[in-house]
Amino acid sequence: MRPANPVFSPIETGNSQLATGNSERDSESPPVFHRWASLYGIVLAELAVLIALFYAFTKVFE
Amino acid sequence: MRTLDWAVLALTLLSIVLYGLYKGRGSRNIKGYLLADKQMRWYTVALSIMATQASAITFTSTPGQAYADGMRFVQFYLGLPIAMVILSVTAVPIYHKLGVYTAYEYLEHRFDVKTRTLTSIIFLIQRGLAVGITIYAPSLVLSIMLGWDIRIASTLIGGIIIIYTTSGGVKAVNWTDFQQLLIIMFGMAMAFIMTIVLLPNGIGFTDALHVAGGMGRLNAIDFSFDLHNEYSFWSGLIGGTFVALAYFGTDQSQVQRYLTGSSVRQSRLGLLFNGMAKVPMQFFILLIGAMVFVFYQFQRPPLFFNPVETRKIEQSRYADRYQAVERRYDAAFENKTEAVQRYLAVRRSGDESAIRDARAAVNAASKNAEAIRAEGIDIIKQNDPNVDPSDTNYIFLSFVMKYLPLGLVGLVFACIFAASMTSTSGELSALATCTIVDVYKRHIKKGGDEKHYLFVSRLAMALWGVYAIFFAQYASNLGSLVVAVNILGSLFYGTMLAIFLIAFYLKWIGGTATFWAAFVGEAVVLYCFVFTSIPWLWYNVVGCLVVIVTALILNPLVGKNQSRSS
Repeated sequence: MRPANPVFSPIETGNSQLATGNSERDSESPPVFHRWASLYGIVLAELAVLIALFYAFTKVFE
Repeated sequence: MRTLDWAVLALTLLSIVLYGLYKGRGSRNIKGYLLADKQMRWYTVALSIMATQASAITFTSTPGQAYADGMRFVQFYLGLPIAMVILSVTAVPIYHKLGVYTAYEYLEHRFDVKTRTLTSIIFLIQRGLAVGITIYAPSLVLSIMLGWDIRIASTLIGGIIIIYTTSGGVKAVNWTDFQQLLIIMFGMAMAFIMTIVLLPNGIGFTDALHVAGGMGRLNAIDFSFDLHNEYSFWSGLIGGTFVALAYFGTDQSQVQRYLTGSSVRQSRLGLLFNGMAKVPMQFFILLIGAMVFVFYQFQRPPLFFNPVETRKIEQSRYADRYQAVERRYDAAFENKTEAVQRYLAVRRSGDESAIRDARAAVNAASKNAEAIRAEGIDIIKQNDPNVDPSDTNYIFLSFVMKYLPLGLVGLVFACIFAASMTSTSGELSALATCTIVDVYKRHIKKGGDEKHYLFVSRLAMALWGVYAIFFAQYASNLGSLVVAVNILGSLFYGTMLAIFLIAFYLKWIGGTATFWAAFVGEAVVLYCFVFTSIPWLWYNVVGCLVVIVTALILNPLVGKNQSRSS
């Protein structure tokens, strides 16, 4: 159910077309790895690698 | 600073302002002024997000944090990549689909107007306070350079920023962010190189790391689980995820950055790039602080890094006592330097037992020097009981002023000014957007034309700037600035995050239950802040959980028909 009077509604601000356009573009794949899930995996894998490196850094120079 | 430094500083700042005005020209309606016509590419979105978060505070206070407390602060950022992924999956498509101007506008679609207004007001209070600190930070720089009173400096700097932000709009903000982050990273890289170049002959980067590590400054990861440990792996990963989710998902100063992306794809890529680059960037900035710490093991540091307070004590009736402490500090420093050099010599021999003994001697000498420094700070406090005993914010700048070569000093100062301008302008534009879109246009004047709303947006930006300058007058009593900003955020972020989590995921919970639960959550967080010793990172978790649980309990009592989108 939509709100009765959304003050800055997409229609009022001229964004309704933009919103539709974005929905279509949402299906676009990322520029690398072709699937968003793969890109998310890369981000999280980098975090895991960084944590391991930081831990090694802490221990080596402790 | 010498003439060339002033020239580098002036030219860099002038080029930034002119570039911003050039890029921001032509904003004749509210969409152009507040959302940059939604035309930004991912790299502009990404660097703008990073620049807005990395304010002048990041470059003045964070190296000092590593100098005083080690690199453990980097753990605070470990939750950020996780949050970037979650927001890319959830918030970005929703905000783009609805074509909203503010994150809080979505709450009216999902709940009702009172929940939207409440959340927007929480943001206005929290960000309004924090923006004062971001103006204070560059004022600190000016006070050191010119020996001015910091309150006069903050008023002057804030005034300049107000003029710049009101004219440029969000398009100018994003483009200057992009340009400035590149300048900033170049300047910081140069500063890092200089910390290594300036080490004494025969002491290389690896030696420096061993000195910093042996003296507890490379403690980047700490897996111990202790609720009272402010920065550990667990508080960073769990609390940090909550903070980052709240900051990037519900704080308009960040949401506005990726709302300017031309599509979901561009906004997502911007967030994910931030997720990959932010942690290494913070590590690098903290490493600069650790290297400055090592440098000061061989070069005698000031007893107290705040030059204004040092000048005051030297002209006071405590001057003789202070000078006596200075002389003892000289001797303690020489002992410490000898101990560090012995430690490095023994380390090369490879004798483990001798290395342990030498390291213990270094830490004993360091403790002795710190105890003498504490005596000096006590005298400073006797002279002026209102003085901030923490000099963390002055450490890096003091090093830059004294030891960096001609031209580079000006560049580093330009970086700090630039960083302040990007974050403050981003924050002021977000504050103005919420004031106009969520409050003024929603509750006060509904039928105005574009010209009117553009005018009041600029006016709101200027008024928020004045408010920020006023708050900045009190920022000198807040200790480490970077921590102060994050504590302020954590008092409110848990509640804001919970409201958005309920909106996204608990579709059966309505606006009224969420609205009252927010009050309960905020009360609990404020109680924790005033009456308990729980570290501030956990406020986000506590606030978020209390709001969600309270909303779940209240929802059946206030009626199920409150939810709009369910």
